[in-house]
Amino acid sequence: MMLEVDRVSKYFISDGSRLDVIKEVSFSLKEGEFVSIVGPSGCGKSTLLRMIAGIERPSSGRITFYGKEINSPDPRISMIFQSFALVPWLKVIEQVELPLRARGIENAKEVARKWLNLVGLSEFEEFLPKELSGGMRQRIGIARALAVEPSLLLMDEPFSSLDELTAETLRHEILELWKSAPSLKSILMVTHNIEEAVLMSDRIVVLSRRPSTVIKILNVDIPRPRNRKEEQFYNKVDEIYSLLS
Amino acid sequence: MTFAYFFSLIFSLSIGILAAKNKKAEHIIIPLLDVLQSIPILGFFPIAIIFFINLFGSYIGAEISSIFLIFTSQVWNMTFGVYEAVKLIPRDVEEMARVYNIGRFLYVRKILVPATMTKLIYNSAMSWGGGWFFLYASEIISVGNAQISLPGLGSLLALSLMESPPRIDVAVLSVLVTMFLVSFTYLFIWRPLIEWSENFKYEYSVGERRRIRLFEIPRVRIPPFLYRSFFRAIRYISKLPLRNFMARLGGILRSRAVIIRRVFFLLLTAFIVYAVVKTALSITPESISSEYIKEPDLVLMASLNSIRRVLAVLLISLSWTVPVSLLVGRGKHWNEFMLIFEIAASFPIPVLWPFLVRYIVLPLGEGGFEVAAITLALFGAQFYLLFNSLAGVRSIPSDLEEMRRVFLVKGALYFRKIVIPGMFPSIVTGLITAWGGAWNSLIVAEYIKVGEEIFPSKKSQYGLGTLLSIAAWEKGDVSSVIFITAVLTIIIITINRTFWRFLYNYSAKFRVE
Repeated sequence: MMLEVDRVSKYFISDGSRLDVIKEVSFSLKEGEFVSIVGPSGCGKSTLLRMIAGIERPSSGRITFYGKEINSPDPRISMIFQSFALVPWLKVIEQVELPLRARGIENAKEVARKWLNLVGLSEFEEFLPKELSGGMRQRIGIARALAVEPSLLLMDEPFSSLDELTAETLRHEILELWKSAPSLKSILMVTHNIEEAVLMSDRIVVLSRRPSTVIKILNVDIPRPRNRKEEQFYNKVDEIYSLLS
Repeated sequence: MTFAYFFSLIFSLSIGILAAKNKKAEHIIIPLLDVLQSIPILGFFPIAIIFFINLFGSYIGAEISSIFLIFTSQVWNMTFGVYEAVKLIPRDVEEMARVYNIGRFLYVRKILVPATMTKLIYNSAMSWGGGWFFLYASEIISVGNAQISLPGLGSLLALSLMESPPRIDVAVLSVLVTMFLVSFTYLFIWRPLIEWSENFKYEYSVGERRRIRLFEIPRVRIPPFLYRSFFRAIRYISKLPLRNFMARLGGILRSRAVIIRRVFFLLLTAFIVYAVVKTALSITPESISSEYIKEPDLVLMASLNSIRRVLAVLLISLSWTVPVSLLVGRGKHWNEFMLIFEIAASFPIPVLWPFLVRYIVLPLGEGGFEVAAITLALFGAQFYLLFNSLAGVRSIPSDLEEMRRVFLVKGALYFRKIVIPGMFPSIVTGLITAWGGAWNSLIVAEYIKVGEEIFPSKKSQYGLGTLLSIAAWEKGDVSSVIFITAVLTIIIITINRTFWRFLYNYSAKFRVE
């Protein structure tokens, strides 16, 4: 098993009282799988993702990656952010270079260039993020996340701050890149967009309102490429809606 | 002080709103404010005193000039605060007001004024701290010069240490009383007001849905009985029929508006005419030429000395505030530290002055003077830098912090690519403000008189503050005072317009929108 989340809970202390966010959540992710986590807003999906990324600690329970407990960020896991998390003063190429240089990779510039080329940004290397559109900014985020050659890619609402047309294009591009990136085995995505989850994933973990527990884990065995107009597709979407309401 | 504050409040609200709402006014007011803000007000202390005493005689003149100076020390940054706040009101709110045809008066009261609340109260708290500085400065500094000695805690402190043997107990006691006064007003008046004013911010952060009530101090533990009795008193006062009284007063004012306006206008004109005539009469041919003009090398050397001291102050401030803000800004005890820093910053540093004079300047002589002058100026400057660089650390968005952790960016790379550029705009702003603050306090610090002995004793140590004070207090030479003030202003404005302007523009690159 690649990733295992085992009875993980998380609470915060605020103003002296305990606020339970996640309660005893368990699921797992195999190599080669695309898994989505859906749930109502404020249910702690993002917190869960941050614990897997190793930048937050569970209050109880264990998260293991290839059998080893995650205590700190693992170099084989990378992430795409809802807000893009770009450094405002770095040029596009430097954004992608930054994590590579942090790993002491020598030809960081060339690697960065290669990935910018793959996401279609090779002409914008010298631009600053503020000079680019939202879709292009998220492309930088994608190039940066894939350039470090991760085995697992985490995506935190990656398309929700983009307009619908751009989002749809990027969804397909991510699926393409997933096939073509040699190191990338699996993707874990957090979203509140149910159709998006059905469109992209092999399995969907449905979380409840806070404190979040797993309502159900569904398999999506619709053959790819998927079409939103197929009956199978919207049946699956309806099923998740009824679970959440 | 309250008087001065009241004037500042009215001035900043009206001018600030005017500047933000009226394009023409904006073009005149904002550059003007910029210049006025960068002039060290203490440099104008002598001029103002001479001017007002000339007008009204010594007692009332001294009082009015101190009110005037406290006013000028507060008003510019409050006006800027109002201006920025009004500019920040979202467009849609303004459009909403127009769509629903909300009247002018209602608009000002319900939308403009509340919008300025956060900035206005925060700046007020800071200005109040500056007011303490002034109060003590005017008391302590005037001890040497018998003619304008204002009695108060500051002068008590200064005198007690100058006696031989020094009365340490009295001195320590007056420092403790000062500390109590400052922390008390801060904790019980400004802090709750600041917390309350957060309600008026135009942003809704996720998760924080709490409404903050007036006089609620969530983070600070104070003995409850103290707290309760204090607020009971406040409540009692607020129950007095003040509101009715104000309403009636407002009614009278409105019905007699035309007459009142005329009388006011007449009085103002009379005052201006009187001031101009009186000042013009007092200018004689001899008083126009300054003797400093004949000694350009002395003025030049003094300028260089002062610039050197200001630079030393900036470097020292920079060297400790940046590391400290890196440590504190990300830490858990941020709120506690912030409170300590804020109280420390509003602590009137001239209180330390007699101690410095007694234990450093007197025994060590010239070297001691240098240390004392720089120390005092340091306290007038470093907190600006500290607050700004703290804000700089905090301004680095949390998603960048998460990103760099996920992608394992740390150490030198992290500092060079993320932390330092992220803090840079705030550090530049801090340096610019600290530069103004340093000049302000240096003017005072460069002249120490103990009995008949004057420090700096050698001409080679003279600074602009020394020349200014000698001209004002020793010789009563108005034209020299004006001359030195002009030199000072030119130096500061020139450097502001060139070096700082350049750094500021450069730093805009690193701003996070």
